[in-house]
Amino acid sequence: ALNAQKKARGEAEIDSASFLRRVRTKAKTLGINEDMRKRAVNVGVSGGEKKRNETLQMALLEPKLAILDETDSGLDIDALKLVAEGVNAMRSRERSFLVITHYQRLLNYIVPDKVHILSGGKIVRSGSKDLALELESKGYDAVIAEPA
Amino acid sequence: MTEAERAFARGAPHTPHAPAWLAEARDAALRSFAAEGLPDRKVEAFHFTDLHALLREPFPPLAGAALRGASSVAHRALALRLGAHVVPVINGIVGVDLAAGRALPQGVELVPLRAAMASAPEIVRLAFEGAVDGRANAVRALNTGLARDGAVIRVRAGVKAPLIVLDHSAALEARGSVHLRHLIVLEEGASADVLEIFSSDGAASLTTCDTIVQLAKGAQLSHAKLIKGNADTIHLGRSDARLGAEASYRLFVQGSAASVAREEISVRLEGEGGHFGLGGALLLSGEKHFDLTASIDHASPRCTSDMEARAVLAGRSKGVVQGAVRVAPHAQHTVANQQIRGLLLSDRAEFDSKPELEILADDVKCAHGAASGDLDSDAIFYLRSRGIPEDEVRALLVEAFLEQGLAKVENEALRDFLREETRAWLKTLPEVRDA
Repeated sequence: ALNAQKKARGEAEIDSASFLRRVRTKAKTLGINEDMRKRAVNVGVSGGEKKRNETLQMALLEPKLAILDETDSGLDIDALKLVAEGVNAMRSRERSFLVITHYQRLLNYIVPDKVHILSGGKIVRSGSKDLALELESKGYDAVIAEPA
Repeated sequence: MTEAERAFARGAPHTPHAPAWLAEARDAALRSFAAEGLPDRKVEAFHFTDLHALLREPFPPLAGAALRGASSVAHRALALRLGAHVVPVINGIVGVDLAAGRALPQGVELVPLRAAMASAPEIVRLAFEGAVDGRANAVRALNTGLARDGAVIRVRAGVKAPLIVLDHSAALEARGSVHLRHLIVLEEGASADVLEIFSSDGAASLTTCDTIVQLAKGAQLSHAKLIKGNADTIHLGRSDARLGAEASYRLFVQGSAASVAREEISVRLEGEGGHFGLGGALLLSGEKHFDLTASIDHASPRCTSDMEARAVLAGRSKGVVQGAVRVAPHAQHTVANQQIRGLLLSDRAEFDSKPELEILADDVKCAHGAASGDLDSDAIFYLRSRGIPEDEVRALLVEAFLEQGLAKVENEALRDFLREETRAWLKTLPEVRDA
């Protein structure tokens, strides 16, 4: 995948030795050990292990846009913090993250720059990180009913 | 009789040193063939490959070809790459390894069948056992009647033979057929590794090639057959094996490109604790037809067998995989497993799978499974979301599908070689290319 991306970006492809080195370094930061890396993709892994693996993939592919769809589902607090650290480490002016969630808790660790509320397939309200806190205390129905 | 059957029944001249019993056996086989003709769909094992209907035009047997040319650069390259001893088999005649002038180690003998008839006639008899009567045996009858050469490989007790490659090519000037009978005999505790490659060029050709395998106690054979060819090639091969106690036979068959190909495998586990493993990779596109039919006879207790056949079908191709396991009444503690998987890349391809179990003992573990389908759309999406273009994704997933069957091949260099052949075939597929 990394080489396919490089091809699309007009960059030189990476060789296996350099690739493995890069994987090892990033995997260590994410707490993914040697034998996890050798297992077949998504076979016999827990939710947390899967998320860690995906975070590693994201760290290696360095996308311009990352879509994290319900990244927090099924995660315990430790795994959540790890994923959040992975995302935060990659935040920059050159990169966008679209984080989709139902729960406030994730946003304590990945503090958003902008919040959008979707209802019936449409963005019904947008705001800053405080909008998420408002949702948590008042509930969706109340917040959506309020004039924008 | 059809034109094709008549051309076969006419036979071919006998070789100079053919002993009397062989000449008689050949004539009897051809008479049997002439009486029955080629098998049609009413013969159960040929139900999905009606040879009577498929072979109409004649393929006259080649009468006395001379071995032309020395071993090619390609042979030398192959020898180096696989660390193997390469034997060219051109138009049905076995050459000797001209590649590196490398002698085989002590205890490993390889002679052409035509020479063995004079030097070791008793071993030649082993190559010509087996029933030739009845329509189901018509292809064996044909091969018995028309084979004029082959490779006789014998490995003495306790000796480990290096990888031997039998590189067959049919390069005919006019349409015709080539017939070979190989014999691989491993004495007690011996081991060997044999790769047979079949390719063709020139006029339309039909090849029959029967490989007879006899493994004594504790012997181990790794055998692979790579069947290539082109739209004008017909390939009818057989492997007939008898295993002694604790012997092990691993066979991998990979086929692509030939117009019509059929490999029939018949294994008899005659001693306790024997093992037979069969892996298959059928790579079919266009109008190709490949039939892999195996029959495994557990005639002794504590033997194990397993079959892992994978077929990838594109275009309007047809793949057939049949596996029949028979467990004799006294063959207790048998463990037998057959898994047949078909991956259909086009909705006009056809895959016929028929696993079969006949169990007459009561303390055994036998399983079989057959499934077919297309590529998993979730898997395609997952890989595309990582930035991989769709045609590469399809190729990756097809390779992954075949990988499990390939695991049966122990020789790593050989596995890599077979993977490359698969990749080359994938590049010819519009379904993968234009996806």
